[in-house]
Amino acid sequence: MNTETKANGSYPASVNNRMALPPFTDVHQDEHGWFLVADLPGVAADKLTLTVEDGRLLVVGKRQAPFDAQTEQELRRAFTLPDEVDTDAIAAKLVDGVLEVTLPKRAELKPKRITVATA
Amino acid sequence: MLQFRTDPVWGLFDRQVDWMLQEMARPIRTPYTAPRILVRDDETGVELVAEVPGLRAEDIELQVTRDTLTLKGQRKVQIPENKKVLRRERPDTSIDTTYRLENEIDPDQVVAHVADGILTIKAPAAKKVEPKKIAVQVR
Repeated sequence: MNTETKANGSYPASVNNRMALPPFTDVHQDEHGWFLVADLPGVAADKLTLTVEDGRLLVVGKRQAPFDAQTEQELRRAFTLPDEVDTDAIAAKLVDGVLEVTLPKRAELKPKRITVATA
Repeated sequence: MLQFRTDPVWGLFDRQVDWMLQEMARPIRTPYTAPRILVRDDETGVELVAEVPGLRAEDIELQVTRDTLTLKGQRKVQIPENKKVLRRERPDTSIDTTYRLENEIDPDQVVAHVADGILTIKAPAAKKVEPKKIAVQVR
């Protein structure tokens, strides 16, 4: 499919530079914990802050507005974390504008394999 | 008295009302759609900014002529195996768009780069071809 578009310089009305945009996010789960993947185009690692407070994970990223080096746009979203998350073991990485957060379960809640002893 | 089915004045009014209702029915906050591509096209040249999270330079194809710009790129969102999907919002991106430019550009001067999931293309305006003056010789 190739759509032909007439180029124009106007911004969609919804793109207000001061408005915080909620990033698209995928969430996956397995027996070890939760995995959060968020699209944060234009956000560099040093402009991204992750905060855990009151059982909530807050993701705030800042980026330069298109065609406007002076204005910063904010991408922001908060997630309520399950109680089982080990908040000290949360890890995050940002590659090509995609944020991946690993939210492991607390160790005592992870499934344990018990070796069966033979008599 | 004969009445026209398509009354010019009332037809216009009807259309206004339709438009107004449409505007009112629209969600107040237009959903944030992806991929978002903005293009500035003026006498100084053309500039394009596209949100392409997860795409690298090798995933993007760009073709330019003096008055068109064709952009292609694809992202397939990976769904991990053995994991339960609780939320799925990130779209599979498929860009295949040709922009017809109002202002001619110089295809040899186009610069494109991708960083942190943002593609930026800058193309300066083509040099205007000055009309050539030809002296008329007298024989």
